[in-house]
Amino acid sequence: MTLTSSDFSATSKDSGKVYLFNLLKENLPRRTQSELNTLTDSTFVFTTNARKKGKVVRTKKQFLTRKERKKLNILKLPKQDWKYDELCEMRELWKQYMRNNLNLYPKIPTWEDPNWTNFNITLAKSEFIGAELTVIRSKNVNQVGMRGTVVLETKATFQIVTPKNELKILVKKPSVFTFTLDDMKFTIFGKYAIIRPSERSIKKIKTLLLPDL
Amino acid sequence: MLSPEIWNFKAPDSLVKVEKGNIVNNNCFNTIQKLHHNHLVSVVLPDTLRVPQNICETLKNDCEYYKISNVGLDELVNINFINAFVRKGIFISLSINERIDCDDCMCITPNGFLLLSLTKETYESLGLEGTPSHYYNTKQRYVVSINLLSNHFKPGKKNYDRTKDRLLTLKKMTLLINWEPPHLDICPSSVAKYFDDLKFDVQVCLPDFQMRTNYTIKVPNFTMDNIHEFVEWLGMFSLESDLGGGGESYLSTYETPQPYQEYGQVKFLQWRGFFSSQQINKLLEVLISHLKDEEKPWISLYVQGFSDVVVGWDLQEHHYYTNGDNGYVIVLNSEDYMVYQHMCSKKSYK
Repeated sequence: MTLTSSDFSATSKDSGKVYLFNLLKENLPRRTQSELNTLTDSTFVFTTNARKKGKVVRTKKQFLTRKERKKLNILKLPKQDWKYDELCEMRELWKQYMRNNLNLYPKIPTWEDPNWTNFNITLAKSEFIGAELTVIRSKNVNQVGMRGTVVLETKATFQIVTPKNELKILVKKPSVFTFTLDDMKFTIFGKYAIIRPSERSIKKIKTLLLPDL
Repeated sequence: MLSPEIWNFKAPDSLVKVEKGNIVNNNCFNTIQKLHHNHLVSVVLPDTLRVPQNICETLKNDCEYYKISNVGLDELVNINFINAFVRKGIFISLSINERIDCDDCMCITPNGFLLLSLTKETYESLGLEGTPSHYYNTKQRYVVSINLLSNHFKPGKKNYDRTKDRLLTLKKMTLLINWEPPHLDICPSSVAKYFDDLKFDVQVCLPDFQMRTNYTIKVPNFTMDNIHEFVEWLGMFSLESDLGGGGESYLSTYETPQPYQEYGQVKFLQWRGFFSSQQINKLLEVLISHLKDEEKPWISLYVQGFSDVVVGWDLQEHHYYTNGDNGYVIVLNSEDYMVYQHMCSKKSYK
């Protein structure tokens, strides 16, 4: 068997294929050679060269990286120049928001009612920025009795502005917080509120939790 | 485990300290100064026909203490109160009807410390700095100590304001107070008047005095060798136990240790109340002078502290493990004295 001229004019990609066919024709038994024609359309992985990776072109980013944000001091709130009185509007807005949130329930359920769990989940999934929180119990005893409006919530902390116009960073884990809305008083165990606020709406919340520090 | 081997448990630790000395060197008052909140005092006078009036009167006159119901502890850090009573004279106080092992207790020591022994929950919601109790490894109890006599502890200071503010949230307690004025011309009841003016329910409590005479009693001779047996006999006698000894009885019986002497009359005096260590001191002085005048073989004095007070011996922390007893027996001879102290176990909970 000799190679035709057309075979040589083929691209380097095809030359590998022609070589392979010749090799098969020489070595395979004669009765299977007729089946070789069925393979002409198929491609062989090892005859083709792997495609070279093209250069990754960076697209212009739409956001600041964490490093940049840290450099620009965006991650931290300023310590000074807070006005507790000016946050009054924010507190009112939050109260309005919370009332709307709880208005879904015709009346406030007690623990015996069937919608007690749902009510608690609604509460646990709501936003706390703007709430007036008080620490009623804490392992860090110096923080007990601290009161202020929440201005930033992170995964592990509440950052509040106290009536003395100071910014305080309260760690959630060792403390118990309370807030009042109209004639209702709510208690939050910080231990069970360690969730990033953005993830809170989709987080599954357990119904049975131990109320102890 | 069907039947736990209860007979195999070790007996609870008891700490007993015996001290001997000479009266002239005057060391026996040291022990008294170490226990500040005293509940029960009893005196045994062997071979006595008439008890001198001054012994009975020592712990009766000017030994009234006051019971104040439902006091908020913020009243005790009031600067007027501190200046008038805690700074001058000797003021001691303790909470009653609170158990040291499961409730919140307070006491004020003569050196002007307000001590609070709090459960974990109360400590965490009170918000005053304290230290974990020595006896609980699991940090279930905390001790908060406030120095009332500190120069910085006055209105306007941050610490004072916060302490007062936070003590307001603590639940109200019933207290016993005992105040010894700095001068004789000041009436000890002024402290009661102070609280009465603040519209608190103040009750005067008089020490409960009992006297008993036992006739023809076998009394063991007091020597320094048989101290444990002698103290045991004193205890049996004070509790009016059967000292006769049955001999043939199947039940276990007690017999007066040898050698003994028989006296016609043995007097037993007992006071129950709230005494400061100064008042006990006075009683001991009277007893020593009585011993010198009348030449008695010996005189014994037994003092027991409160079991639910925050501090025990020497202002160290106190607790209730198997018992909460702190006390001492002083036996006086014409020349020597013996102090037999028993203390609460210092074992910590596991």
